[in-house]
Amino acid sequence: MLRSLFILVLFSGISPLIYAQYRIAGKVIDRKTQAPIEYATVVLPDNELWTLTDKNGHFIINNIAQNELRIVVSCLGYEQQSLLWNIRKDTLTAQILMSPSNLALNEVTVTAKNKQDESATSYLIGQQGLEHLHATAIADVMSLLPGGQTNRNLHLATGSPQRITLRGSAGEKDNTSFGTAIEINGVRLSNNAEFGAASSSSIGEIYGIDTRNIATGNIESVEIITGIPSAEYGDVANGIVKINTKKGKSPLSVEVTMQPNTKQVAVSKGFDLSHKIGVLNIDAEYARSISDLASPYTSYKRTSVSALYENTFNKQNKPLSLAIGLTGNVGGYNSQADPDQFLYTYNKQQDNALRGHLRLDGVLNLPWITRWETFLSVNYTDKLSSVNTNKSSSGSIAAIHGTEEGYFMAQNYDEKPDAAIVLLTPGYWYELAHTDNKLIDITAKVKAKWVRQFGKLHSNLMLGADYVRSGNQGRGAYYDDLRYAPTWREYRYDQVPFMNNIALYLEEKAGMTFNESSGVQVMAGLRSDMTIITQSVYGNVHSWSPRLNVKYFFDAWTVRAGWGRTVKLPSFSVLYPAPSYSDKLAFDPGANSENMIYSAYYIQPYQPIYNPDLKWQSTQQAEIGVETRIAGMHFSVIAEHNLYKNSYTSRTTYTPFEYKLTDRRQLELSPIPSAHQKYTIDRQTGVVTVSDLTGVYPDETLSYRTIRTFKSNSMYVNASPSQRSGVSWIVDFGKIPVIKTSVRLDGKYYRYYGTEDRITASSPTSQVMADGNYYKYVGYYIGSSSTSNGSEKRQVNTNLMLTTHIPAIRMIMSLRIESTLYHYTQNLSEYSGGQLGFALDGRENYFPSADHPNRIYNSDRYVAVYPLYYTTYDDMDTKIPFAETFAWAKENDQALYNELARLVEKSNTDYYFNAERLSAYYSANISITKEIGDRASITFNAINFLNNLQSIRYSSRNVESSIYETSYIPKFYYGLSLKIKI
Amino acid sequence: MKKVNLVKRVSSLLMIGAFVLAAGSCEEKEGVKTFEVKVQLEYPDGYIAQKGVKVELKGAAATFEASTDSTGLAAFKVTAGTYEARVSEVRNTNASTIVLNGTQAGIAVTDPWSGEIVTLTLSESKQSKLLIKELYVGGCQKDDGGSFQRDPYVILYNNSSEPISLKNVSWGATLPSNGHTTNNFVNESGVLSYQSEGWIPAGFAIWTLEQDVTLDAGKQIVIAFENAIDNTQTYSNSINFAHPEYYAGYDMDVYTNTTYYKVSDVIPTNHYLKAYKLTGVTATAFVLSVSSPALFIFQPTEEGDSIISKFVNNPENITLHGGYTSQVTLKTPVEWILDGIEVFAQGQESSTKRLTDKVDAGSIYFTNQQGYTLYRNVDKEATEAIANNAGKLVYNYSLGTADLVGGSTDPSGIDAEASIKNGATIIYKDTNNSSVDFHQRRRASLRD
Repeated sequence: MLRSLFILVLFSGISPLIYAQYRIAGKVIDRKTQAPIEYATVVLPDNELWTLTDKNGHFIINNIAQNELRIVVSCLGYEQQSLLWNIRKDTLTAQILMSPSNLALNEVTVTAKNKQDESATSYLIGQQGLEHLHATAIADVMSLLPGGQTNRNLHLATGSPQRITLRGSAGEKDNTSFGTAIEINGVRLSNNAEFGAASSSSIGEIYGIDTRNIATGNIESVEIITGIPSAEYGDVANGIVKINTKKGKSPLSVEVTMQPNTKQVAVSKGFDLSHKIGVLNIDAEYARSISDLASPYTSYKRTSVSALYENTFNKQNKPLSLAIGLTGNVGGYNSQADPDQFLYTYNKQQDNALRGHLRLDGVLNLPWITRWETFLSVNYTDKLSSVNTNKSSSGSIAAIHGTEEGYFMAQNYDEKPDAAIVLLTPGYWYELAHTDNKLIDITAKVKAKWVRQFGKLHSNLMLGADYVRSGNQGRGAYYDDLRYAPTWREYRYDQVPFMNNIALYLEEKAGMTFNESSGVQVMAGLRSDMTIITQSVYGNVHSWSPRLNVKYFFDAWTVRAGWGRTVKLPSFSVLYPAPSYSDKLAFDPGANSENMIYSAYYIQPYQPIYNPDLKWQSTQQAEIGVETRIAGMHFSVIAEHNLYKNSYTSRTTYTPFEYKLTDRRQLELSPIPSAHQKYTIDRQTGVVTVSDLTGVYPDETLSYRTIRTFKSNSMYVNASPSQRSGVSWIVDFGKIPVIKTSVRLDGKYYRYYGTEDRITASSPTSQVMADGNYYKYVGYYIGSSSTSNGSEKRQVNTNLMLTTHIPAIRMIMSLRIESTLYHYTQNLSEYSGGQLGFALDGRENYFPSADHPNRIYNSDRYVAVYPLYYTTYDDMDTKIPFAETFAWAKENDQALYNELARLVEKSNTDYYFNAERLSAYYSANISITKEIGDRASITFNAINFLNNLQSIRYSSRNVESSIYETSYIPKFYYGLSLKIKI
Repeated sequence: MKKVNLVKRVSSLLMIGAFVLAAGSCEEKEGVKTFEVKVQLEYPDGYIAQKGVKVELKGAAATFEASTDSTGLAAFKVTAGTYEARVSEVRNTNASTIVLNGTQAGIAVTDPWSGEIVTLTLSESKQSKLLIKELYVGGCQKDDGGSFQRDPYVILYNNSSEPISLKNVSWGATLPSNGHTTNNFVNESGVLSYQSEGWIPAGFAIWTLEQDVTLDAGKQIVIAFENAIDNTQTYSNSINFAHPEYYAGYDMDVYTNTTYYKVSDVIPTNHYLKAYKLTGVTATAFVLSVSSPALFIFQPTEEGDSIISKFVNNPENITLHGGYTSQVTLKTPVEWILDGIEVFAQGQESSTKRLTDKVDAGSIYFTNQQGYTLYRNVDKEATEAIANNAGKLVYNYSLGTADLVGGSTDPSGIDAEASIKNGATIIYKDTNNSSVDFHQRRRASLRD
């Protein structure tokens, strides 16, 4: 093995030897009708050569220098054929028989299968698997992965997006959905330019794209790369989902899907525009999902139309393929018609999309270049959300719109609509608020491949460059009528510069076959990303992504190993944080007889805090896998370890400041009758002057008090590393002929371990101390201002799938039992390998337990965490050790002790640090697909059809409760799908 | 050995006898089977049982009453079901008026009924001069539909014959805020964990009247918890708080949410209550339950300017409801508590008590969003005994809600507000038992 690798590397750098050049030609025909198949793609994947059959099913490929030849023939509506030929002379009369893809075939796959020819771990879900799954959302497809589980979203009509996460689950660090890349026909669906995608959760997660606008009716296959991807894939951290839509000539197909909450109609046809003009695929889909069967108003709609044009020029010699695709979707979430809501109240969230791409793929087959490809794409997403809310108030409301520092008095909108503070008058009104995100990603890619042969050594060198330009042309948050706009500042997303990323990559995919049954393949690549961010401190940021995959196969065994680094670019929320404002009440005269309150505020704008030390989030992946076939059974085991570094997360900073407050107590002393009072405030000094509207009394300056407090601001930083590892397996026991049933057992062990070690500040700034002043201390904690600074999760999911396929009646039935055999979570309180928190004797204690202070895990005790140190309002630079000072204050300074006690964080429960092990639980799905002739098929699915009510035991509290209606298993529902080909 | 056998035989005979007696305690009249239930009152040390004390057995369908014999035993004939036994006995001494309260829920009378005697333990509490006369928390209907619930208030009343100082009088409300949400203070025995510890939890914050205000006998103060302005200009069914005599929960240093807190410029600043937010609370508003609060008023037994501040800021006095750091409560000593009212939401039969018997031995059901209020019943005997009230009392009270599902009315029949306007002095009922002391009034008294 090592010797082979050495030879492989040695030979990669020298010129190829001259070998005989052969031609292959032949005819692709329908196995059943013997009719020639037009538009079948004949690909020699190792040689980067391909062509298309003509109207007579003929094809020809020249200049083939290889003896062992892999040939892959595919055509829409037919089962893909993979052949291995040993070419020693021109082969011009080959006949390749293609079987129509239907259930009359002996072999039908309705699960995800390993892509055998790839160096990295990836899975492919084909047309029959998708139809049998009955997917109405792309997230449904993830259930077919080893250990995958049925999508828990019963429908699409939720107010929050539905995302896909490969490798990760809720409550974990590292922005796992953001790091999962999704592509449709090569077009990356990115939301890097989206604002507001960051959550307010303690881990400051940035979320990935909403996948609901992806039509499912026109999907031909889904490829999921969980291993180390090729160097041509950038801006990714958690794996890639590649969706391929239907291509090629096909009959008119109509598919109607009905589930309790979702109805979907999909129509598609592949038009043959004539042999010279090409093929045009048109797909249309309409899906409507409702949230509540009893009140079918709140809904999500998807209306998608796509066109894909393909033509191949010069088929016989150096073919050039042109593909142009255009997809549009109109739809989104809408609660407007719901009669349960207030009149005119609604929440609309547009989810419109327009995606276009142009691909030129040419074979040159020259000594210095074999194949080239150019790809251009535009992805536009319109995420305008509009929320109309019924509002009312018995008193005026100060709406603060000013962006400049100073003291400002509230004014009537009719008198000065552009005032820094306007008063919303008492009464009833509707507030129509919009948040406008219009994301644009423009991508240009070019790559070239150079295939060479050195005896048994096969070399495929790829060189490529990408350019991606991402921006947001949305207006940001705004209000329909400024008269009713509450406190808000405009921050236009369309004035934020675009982010540009230029990448260069080089990848060698070399292979050597030792004999007919053994060989080795090495894929080594290096990617260089240069991110150009104008108008920010980040400037230009460069990152390297090396990747290596090795595959060794012998006899029935294949062993894979890989190591690589992927880099995820930041979101605009990270790059261009919006300015923040501190608005403090500076004068409060009380409500007058008309309930108008002419108050004043001190506005202090804070410019965004950029972190010049911010690094791009990256993942170091390592995996090893073994596959074999023994006695008709197929085994696959893959182990992976992933180290996540520098994930984007936010931190709070505190800045002391003071302002002046004039309260009504001062105003009460004024001799001017309240009905005649007019107030002004000095913008710089904050001093309030009362004037007499009748002129009887002279102006009067009111005294004030000075308020000292903190302004909090947030900034993005890099989180501490975390780890994800796992083992996934597939055991295909093969088909038991007597009962025509195949058995598959797949599963996944997943482990996550993440703690946060970096110092974070926290202060209850809104609390008032015993002396009447705002809280003046800031605590600095390790990780976060909570007792837990991380967690560990372990889970074992296994799926048993029994698939009965009866070709004679063209029916396939599957029973899938999804079980979670091991579900473990443990909150952690750790620091540099040691323990961070300490056990208390009772929840009201503030000091470590005298008996067992370190027994925080599985001890049924409340746990507390101290800040490492604290600072004071008056001296933010002096770090005062907390534990020692707190203990001293307990004995010597009761007032200080009382105040510092506010910085002690305690666990909510005495079982918070008990390990949570759930007893095993399961659910079962059944699916039946029946073809009626060649033109119709029916699929029936029943999800969790036993409507499992089992009790599960929670070890942390040692209690049992029913699994019914929990998120551990999907809800019981059923669905029917009818597909007709005309 | 023989002695053991003899004991066994005697005990067996006793058990058989008890069974025969128990079986004999069952009666069937006109096809309805009833069972004899005996309730034995158990008095605190120093008290002797008295004859004629009224005891109630409250079931889902009906409430039964019986009087005790001289040993404190009350006998009932009731149908099968689950009952709550309750008693409020008032005893006057030379120095003060003592209330002996007891409740016991979950008495399951089944067929067959074992006939065991139910023991009802009484606890001693004192009547207070300062009472909660009215609690308005449920809001009203808005003019464009929906409800407005940001106008709660309380009226405190001097029910004695002499002036009282209101300095440091404070109010708080327990957690859980609603009577029908999970009460994590209930231990495995079904008992409030703080019952034997002498405190009541005040959630999130307390509000204090720091000024030294004197309240004369028979007088009241109105405290608007939120939006102390004329709310009727927008919500015609709401309350007008723009009155110079009213008090307001308004402390913008502590609670800054302007949706909740506004104050009219006619309310003087020395009528503002001060908020003491508890350690760990970060909310910008104190949200009182709009359906089922358990609210109480208290006054420290010690005097001093910073008594409340010291008490609130001492971490030893803080505990967490269910351990949740967001559910901070103050351990308010029962001996500080002047009065309390336990409110359950109408239709929430599974609500659990939060105030202990020493504060409030009962509960009152309430329907919110309709402008209804909880109003204290009149002590008819005491009120009519006031000589100056002759001819000033207005009867035929019509603002009760006994005609509504879960509603109630004042059994005295006296219209307290109309009588006060007529110059009468009202003595309100005070048995430290909301079931007896309060009713649901159809209209807030501030709208009379």
